[in-house]
Amino acid sequence: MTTLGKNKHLSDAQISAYVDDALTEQQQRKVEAHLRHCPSCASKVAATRRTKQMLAALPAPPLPRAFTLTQADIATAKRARRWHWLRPFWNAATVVTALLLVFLMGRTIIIPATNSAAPIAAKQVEMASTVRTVSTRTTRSIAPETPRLLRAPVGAVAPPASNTITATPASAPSLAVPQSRALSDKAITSAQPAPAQQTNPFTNFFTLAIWPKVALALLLALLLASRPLLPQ
Amino acid sequence: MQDAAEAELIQQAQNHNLASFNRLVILYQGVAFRVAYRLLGDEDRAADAVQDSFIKAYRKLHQYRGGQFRSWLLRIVTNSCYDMLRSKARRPTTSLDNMVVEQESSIWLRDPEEGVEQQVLRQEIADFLQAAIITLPPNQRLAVTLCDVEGLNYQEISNVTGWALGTVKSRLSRGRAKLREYISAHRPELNPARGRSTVE
Repeated sequence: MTTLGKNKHLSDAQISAYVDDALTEQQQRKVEAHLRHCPSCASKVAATRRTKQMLAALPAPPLPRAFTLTQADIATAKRARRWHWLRPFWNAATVVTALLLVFLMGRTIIIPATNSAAPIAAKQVEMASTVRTVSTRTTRSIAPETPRLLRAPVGAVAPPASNTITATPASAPSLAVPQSRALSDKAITSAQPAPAQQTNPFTNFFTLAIWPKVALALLLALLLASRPLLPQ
Repeated sequence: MQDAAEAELIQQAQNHNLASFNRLVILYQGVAFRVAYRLLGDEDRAADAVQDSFIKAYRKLHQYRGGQFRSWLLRIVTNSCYDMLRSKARRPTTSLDNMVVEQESSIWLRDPEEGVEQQVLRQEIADFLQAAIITLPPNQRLAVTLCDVEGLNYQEISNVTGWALGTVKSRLSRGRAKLREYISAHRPELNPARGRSTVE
C-alpha cells in the first residue's frame, strides 16, 4: 500500500481494504488520519460501506425448483457426452471453411488488380468477337458505344499495340485494347498470340468459377447454423 | 458444513450413490442458485446453469480432493455461468431496461409482515442493485457477489475463482468503486451525505 501524502487521496484498493478491515494496524492508522481531514475520501468510504451493507441485505431469490438429480438426468448427460467429442472437430471445420472462403474471395479481389488480367481479357475477347460479328453488320450504329465495353483495366494488359485489338483463344488469352479507337473490322485481327503474357492455369478456376465459393459459403452457413445443436 | 457427516456424504456420492449426492445438492442449491442469479441476472438461465453444474459435479466428483466442498461446487457453478455469459455474448440479448422491468413484476421479494410501501421500496432497491451488479464486468461481478452478497472472505474467493489474493482484492475494489459511482449517479439518496466523516 502506498504511503499517503498531504494532497493525496485514498485509492479504491485502500478504501476497499479499509472497509473490509483488511489493513494492518499501521495502515489503518494512516488511513484514519487521512480521513479526518479529507471529506472527499471520507465520503467515498461511507458510500462504499453503505453499498456493502445494501448488498449484504439483498433478499435471496427463492429457488425456482429443486435441483436434485434423477437417474434420467444422469443418463441424458451421458448421451450428450457421447457426442461431445464432435464439437472441436466441428469448430475446426468451421474455421477451415471460413479461411478457405476468405482465401478464394481474396484471390478474386486481388488478382485482377495486380498481375493477371487474363480472365478479364478472356471475357473481353469473347465480347470483342461478339461485337465484331455485330459490327460487320452495322458498323456505324454500334461503333461509338463499343470502346467502353472493350476498355482494359489500368495496368492490366501488356504492350500497347498500335490501333489493333489482339484476340487470342481462351486457353491463352491476351488482349491489347486502345481506348481511343472505335472498332472497325479491319482493326481486329484474330488469333495472334501475345508472347509476353503468362497465365496461371489456376487463375481461371479461382477467379471465374463461382461455384466453389457458393458451395463453401453454404457449407459455412450449415456449420454455423448447426453448431448450437451440438451437445455442450 | 464441512464436517464428518458431509465428508461421509461426499464419499458415498463418490461411490455413485445418487441419494447421498442429492443430500449435498439440497445443502448447497441455495447458494449455487444465488450466485448464478447474481452473475446472470436471469432466473431461468441461472436455474439452467445450476442444473448443469450439479450434473457436472456428480460426473466429476471423483476429482474432488478434499477442501471446502462449497468452494469446489461454486467453482463449477461460476464456470457454467461464464460459459453462459460467453454464449449470451454471441447471441442477441434483452436490454438492461427490459430486464429491470421484468424483475419489477417478481413477487419473491415480498415479506407478508412488511407494509406495502416498505415492500415496494425494498423491491425497488433490490431490483436497482441487481441491475447495478449486472453493469459490472463478469470478473468484478463475481468478486462483489462472492464477497459482499455471499460474505466469502478473500481466501475463499481465491479458492472458488482460482485467482491470486491480489487479483481478488483489486477486482473487488474496482467493482465496489464502480457500484458506488453507479449508485451515486442513479440513486444518490441511497448513499450517505457527502463529506460525512466515517471514522469510528
